[in-house]
Amino acid sequence: MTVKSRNITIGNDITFSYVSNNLEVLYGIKEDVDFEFKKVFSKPGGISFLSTLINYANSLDYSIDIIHDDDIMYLQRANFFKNLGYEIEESFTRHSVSRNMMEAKEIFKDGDPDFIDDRLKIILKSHIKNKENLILGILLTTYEVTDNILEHSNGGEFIESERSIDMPGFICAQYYGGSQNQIEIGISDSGIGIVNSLKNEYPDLSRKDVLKKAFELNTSRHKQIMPSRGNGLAKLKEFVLSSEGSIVCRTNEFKITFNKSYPHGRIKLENEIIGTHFEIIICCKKDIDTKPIFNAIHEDYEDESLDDFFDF
Amino acid sequence: MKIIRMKEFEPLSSHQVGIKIKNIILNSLNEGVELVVLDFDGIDICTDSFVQQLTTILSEEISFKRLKEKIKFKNLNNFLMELIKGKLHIASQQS
Repeated sequence: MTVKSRNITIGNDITFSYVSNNLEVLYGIKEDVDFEFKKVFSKPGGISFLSTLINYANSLDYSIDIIHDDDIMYLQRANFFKNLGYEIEESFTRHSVSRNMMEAKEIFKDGDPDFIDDRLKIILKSHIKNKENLILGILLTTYEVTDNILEHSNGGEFIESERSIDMPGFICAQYYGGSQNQIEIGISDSGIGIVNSLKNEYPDLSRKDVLKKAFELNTSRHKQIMPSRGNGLAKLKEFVLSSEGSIVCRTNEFKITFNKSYPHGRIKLENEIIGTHFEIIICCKKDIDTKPIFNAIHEDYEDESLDDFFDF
Repeated sequence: MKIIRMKEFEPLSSHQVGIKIKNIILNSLNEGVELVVLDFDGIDICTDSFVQQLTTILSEEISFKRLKEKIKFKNLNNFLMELIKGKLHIASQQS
């Protein structure tokens, strides 16, 4: 990355790691800037993360202009520029429906995550249609984490009315076939961050331990009024690890990584950042037994007193 | 009897959708409806957050005893059946 006085050139692949490793340049912009995009390879985690940062810079009333090479087709297909309010002429034909990519989507309000049901389901069914549990798990965990954008971005109390936020979050996904056979999902928001959201609920824990706790069952800032809430991130972790995939999350002053080598999470101290940013990679090579992750424990099924709810 | 067709609220992916349906249930009960049937015909999945509103949280608001008397679940696939049973089990323990 080269930085001139008013020019940021992005000539590397836009991956989650790239954005995360270049936050000194990309976050906290305090002047008018030209973003220059060269021909690069882009991935969902990088696209959603970078969208949030540029959107944040735009919100600070600095002039952010886009300069680009001719070949920025992938970013255009992913609606990267369009979502940020930049109309750049497209020199390609858009297919009505991509079978591999779920274009980046802004999440502003209730109802926005609904498109996951259409777009992601189509992609998954066209590639891994025989792995029903896997499809189910990917959809469920994506819903849950996307819903967090609307929950945590409000930064305040749980509200029962319809929700909307001032600065959108972004979600993007891509299926990679062949020997990779995996899906990458990027989810990013401009909220107060996971640790800041939960710290008052767990005053005895260090900030690092609060972050770890966020990925355990029944962890919620609403646990007093809704004791059964707060399972989304824990289930995401269990599901992704079951697929032998990985999660990288940047939030507040931390980066936490879950993968085969670090099933309980590896936390690194980083520079403070706005929002929460996920790179989620789910391997699609095998179907997964999702019952222990998403459903009731076995003894619950045997509770005959519950049959009244279903027999009538 | 009032039948609420979940398909009309799809996707069932957030607390907010659950709250919307929970409020319909509460209004119906307040109006004297004897039985509310939640019909999941055509629904593949719903999230934990959604189901909580119609099970554990509704149970806290009207009591588990009343929940059991007034609410029925219909046309559940295996996944939904197990998910909802699990939540109802938690609701029964909370009561």
